[in-house]
Amino acid sequence: MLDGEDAVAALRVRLQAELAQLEQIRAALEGVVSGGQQATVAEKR
Amino acid sequence: MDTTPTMLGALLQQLEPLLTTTAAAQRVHALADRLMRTTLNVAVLGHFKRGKSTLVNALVGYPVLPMGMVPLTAIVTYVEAGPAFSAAITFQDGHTAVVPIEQLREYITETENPANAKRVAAAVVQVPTARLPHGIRLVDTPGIGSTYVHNTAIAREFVADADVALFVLSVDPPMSAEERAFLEEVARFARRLLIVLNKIDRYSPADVADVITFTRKVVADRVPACPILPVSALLALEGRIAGDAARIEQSGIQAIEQFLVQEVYQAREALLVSAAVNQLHMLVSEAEQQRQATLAGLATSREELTRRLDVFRQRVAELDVLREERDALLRVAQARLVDQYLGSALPTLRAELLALANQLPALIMEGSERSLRAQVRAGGHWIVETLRSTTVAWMQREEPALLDVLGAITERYRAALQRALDALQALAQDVLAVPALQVQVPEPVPVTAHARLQVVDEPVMLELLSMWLMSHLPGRIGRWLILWRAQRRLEDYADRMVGSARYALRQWIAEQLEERRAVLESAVSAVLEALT
Repeated sequence: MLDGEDAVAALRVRLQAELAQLEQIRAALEGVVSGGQQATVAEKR
Repeated sequence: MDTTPTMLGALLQQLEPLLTTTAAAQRVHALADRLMRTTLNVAVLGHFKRGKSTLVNALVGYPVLPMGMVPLTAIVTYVEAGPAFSAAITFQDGHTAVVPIEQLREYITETENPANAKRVAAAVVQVPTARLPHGIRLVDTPGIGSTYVHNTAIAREFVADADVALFVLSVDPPMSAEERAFLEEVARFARRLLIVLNKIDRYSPADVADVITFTRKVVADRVPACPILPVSALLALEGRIAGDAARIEQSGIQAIEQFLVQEVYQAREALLVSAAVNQLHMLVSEAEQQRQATLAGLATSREELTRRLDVFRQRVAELDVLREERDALLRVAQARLVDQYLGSALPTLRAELLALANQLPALIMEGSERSLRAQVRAGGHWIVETLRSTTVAWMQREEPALLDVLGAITERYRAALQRALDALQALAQDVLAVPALQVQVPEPVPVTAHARLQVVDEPVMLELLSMWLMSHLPGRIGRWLILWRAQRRLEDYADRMVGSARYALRQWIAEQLEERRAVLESAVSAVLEALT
């Protein structure tokens, strides 16, 4: 069983990993948005 | 083929396990579903009694949703085109029941499902109509701002699912501060927003134009380009049912239908993508903030966390102390109102009652010897009835002015509460990293009950009858004496009436303020419950 400090360290690692995942989603979202904008510009041309 | 909706759907799926609240997970689920089916939620939102259900009925051309004078819609109700009339009720435990359309009101109205005792999550109504294009669902929501706080909560919760919003106002009363705040909240989510100014049939075109100008000014800094369309939903619905083209034309509904086709239906895919991108941004930010706050918490020592929690608890306790202060202030305002207002107003009632004595000579001095007994009886009856009805009428005339004063008192009280709540929420955000709830203290609904005059029957008639004996005095002397006594009795009775009116108005003022206080304090309780 983990003691208090280990549990805190494990939680910290998990939270940082989740933040990294969220950052990836955000980047992918930006990609979708700019991709969509480019597609719209191309359509207009 | 455009793959943007598919990609957004995939991102929503990735995000789902990272969300920490069930509400957020449900939002994501519902949005993914809308993206997949290319179906937009066009939410009809607004204060209670603005005619939201009537507007939905007018747009589909059938009175499928219950309409009424009191706050009625209690449950989010989706209305879409379908092969036949049907109503599907989804309950909070997840099961769904299909019921005859006539039974819809048993599930979605406050009167027949009070405080949602039947645990309904939502209702989906299908209507065989060509007026509503496939891919658009009109969503009727409970009105905000009524005494039913749970209705407001359901409506606010739904705002995040509104891809497009029809925000319903009415000509009278014009847009309130609470409606403006709600509109701002709606504008954060809805990708297209239309302000519908309802009930125009009750006012002149000049009044309607004034209210449109006023509304445009009020919303200018927040949603400057938002169109405002005047309508009479009731006239439109009547016109649709009767097939009366003139009424439909006059109602203004066609401009809203045109908006729905041109601005919403034809752009529905782009609107859905925009709604999904907007939601994803917000949800990712929320999830990030929550993790960062927890990480910051981990970096803080246990002593520091305990200290912050203590500060917070102390402030919550202070809010309770402030509640006592607010109550005391309210009692002072109430006492002042009773003293000052009634002190200056009641003498006018007394004067009005005493002036009635001028009519006594005609009742008593004329007539034959034989009719005197009947005259005395009628005179006594007249004093009791006339003074009582005059007092009741006077009280009713005074009520509007008193309501104005009560409104001003309550507004000060409401503002004080709002400041206290804002301070507490700001503290919760600073100290505990709890996101601000931005709870608005509701504006209480004026209570319409009238003051009740309670009078113990006075033996005026008997006393006067006992004077009949005096009629045996010679000539007109007996009548003069009876008149003199009747005038004294009228004066006594007038004083009693003034006392009764004072008591009745005092009780009424106390009841009115208590009702308002209860509505306002319920907002504080809601915040404390959410924060602690």
